[in-house]
Amino acid sequence: MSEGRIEGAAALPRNTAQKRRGLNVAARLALPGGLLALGLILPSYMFDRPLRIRARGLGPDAWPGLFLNAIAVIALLWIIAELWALYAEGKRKRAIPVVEQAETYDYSKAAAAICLLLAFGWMLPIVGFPIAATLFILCWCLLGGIRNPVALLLVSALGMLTLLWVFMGLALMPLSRGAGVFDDFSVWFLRLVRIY
Amino acid sequence: MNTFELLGMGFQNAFALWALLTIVTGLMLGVIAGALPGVSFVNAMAMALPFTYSMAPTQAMLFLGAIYVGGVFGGSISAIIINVPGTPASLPACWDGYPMTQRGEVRKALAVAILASAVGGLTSALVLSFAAAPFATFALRFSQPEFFAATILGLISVIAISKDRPLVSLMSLSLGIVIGTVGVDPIYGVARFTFGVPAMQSGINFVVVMIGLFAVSEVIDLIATNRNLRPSNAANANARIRFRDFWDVRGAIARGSGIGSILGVIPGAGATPGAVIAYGIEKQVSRDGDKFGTGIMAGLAAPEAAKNATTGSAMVPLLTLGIPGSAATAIMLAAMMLHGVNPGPLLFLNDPTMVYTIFAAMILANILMIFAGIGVAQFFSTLMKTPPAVLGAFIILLSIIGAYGVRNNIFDVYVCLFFGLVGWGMKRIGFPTAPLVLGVILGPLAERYFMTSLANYNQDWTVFFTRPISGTILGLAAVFAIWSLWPVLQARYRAVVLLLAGRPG
Repeated sequence: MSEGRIEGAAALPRNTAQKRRGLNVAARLALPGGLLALGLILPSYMFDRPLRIRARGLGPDAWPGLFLNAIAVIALLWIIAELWALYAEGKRKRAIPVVEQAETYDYSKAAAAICLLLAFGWMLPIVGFPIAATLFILCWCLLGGIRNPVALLLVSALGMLTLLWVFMGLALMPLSRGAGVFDDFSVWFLRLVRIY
Repeated sequence: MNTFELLGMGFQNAFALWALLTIVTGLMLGVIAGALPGVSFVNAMAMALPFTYSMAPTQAMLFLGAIYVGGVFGGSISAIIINVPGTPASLPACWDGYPMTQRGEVRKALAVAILASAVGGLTSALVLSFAAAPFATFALRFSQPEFFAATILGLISVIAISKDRPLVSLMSLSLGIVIGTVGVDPIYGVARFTFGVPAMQSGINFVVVMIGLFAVSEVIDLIATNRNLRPSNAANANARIRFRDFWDVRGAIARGSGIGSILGVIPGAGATPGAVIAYGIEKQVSRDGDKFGTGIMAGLAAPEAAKNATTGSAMVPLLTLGIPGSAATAIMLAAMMLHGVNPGPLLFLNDPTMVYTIFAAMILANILMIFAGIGVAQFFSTLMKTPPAVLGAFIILLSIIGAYGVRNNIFDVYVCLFFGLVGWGMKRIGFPTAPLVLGVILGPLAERYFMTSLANYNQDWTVFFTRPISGTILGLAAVFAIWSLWPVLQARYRAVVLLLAGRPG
């Protein structure tokens, strides 16, 4: 038996094999099924209010409508292809593949990174770029395993200053300064570092 | 005077100290701006425009032309090193350039990209010098149906990229086209798919989608795998770049240069479709076509040559007809008008010195680009020695600044983060992201050309097939699609026959 593969469904207890097969079917059909639903439902949400244009020929719904229909048709073909593949696999009694991980993938770290990104997006217009960027670099480096406090402080402070200097100072990009007291702080800080 | 004499005079002017300094400065600015995701070379050209007020008209054109040449290449540096295309046209560089970097062959990938871009750019500059007038006459026949057909050819190339999963790739492409329809439609001015959110009326910008799908998702993977970006294989990393490596991709470079030079002349086609179409064709032509996407040099060389080959030929309709075919050439047109220069056939009669100095400068810029590219790439290569966590944090911040900078709008930051999460999910389940990006980029163009064609030709859809050039391009697209799908269809047919015969393979 090769590593990372289970040598045929028959090698497993019948209940486990059936459950696994059911999950496999559900997983493989979930995405095309969802996309089929998207293709069918989305046309009714195309406009916020009823269309009043009496266009000669094709209207504004024609192009997106065409591709939403295409999504539905492709999803249907995809479902048929998946069912056909499942049928063929069943006939061949082939091994149930278990995804082999070439490298260790830490999903908890990925989830933490996503939460950090969402927090950064939420904080940015409230606290402003200087504070949000410093905190983000600090947290991201901690998440990435950097523990040296000097390195953490230097990277986050100097990194934020460099970005501010390049984008707000040189490129004159109006990055968010935050709201209320954070805006006042950002203005004070930008004056301190001679960007304003 | 004949073309050679005029070009000789142009070189004499381009080699003057002030001209040379202008070209080098513009090149460096362009390569750096192109390499920074979100800070595109078009933005750099727009920012540089006011600085040309104090320059003579020829110097202004040399400056902007050099930014253009450098910027189109620059996007590939970040694509190859950190899998973030600096410009949309550099997207194919991610597909085979970045896998080379992952194998530890970053220097080889950069060397191939620089050489291919320089050869493509030089070819195109020569096309500009010698074939400007005939090409302009041909391009004059183009109308909306031809532009639509050219865009469809670009979209069809997705099938070639899709390896053996055309259905999934077509799904991804369709999703991208639908995402591209968000916002006010180009003909009737009606808002679509805004779901009551005012910010969505201005649409979803492809740069923001691209940054999210490629940069943000890649960085999440980077932290989850704790992957070391330093070249893992010491033997590969220190391997010398041999002449043989370049010789092996000579065909890919030649084909890419040809495709780019032709597509560049078509207004609206530009570097992005040029690079994608060149990649698709090379995948079909190459002996290693089935391995494309795993770090094959030909897959990197062909689109690199093609995208830079559009730079010179894109100047053909600009200089001979005054038609800017892209945002970059539109800025150059603006610069010419600011300086009181009227582009058109008369420009060749009234001011041949200026015209041929620009031609010579384009040739020179593509040669000097090799050095500018190596310099900037060297700087970017040092990034690889940075701990992945630090690099990841800065890629995210640069991406977010880039997304924000597109329209100075926090909504774009949210869109970027959303597509970052979508891209991460797509990567985890093996759903291709490249066709989606192409759909978002080319979909709105295709819609505009399609709708205006029908409006101009009395809602007669046969116009796309009856007009000779449009019909030919669509015919080529059909041949290309069948050619690309043929091996997949054959394999499927054989599998079905075997299964029905009770001999599952």
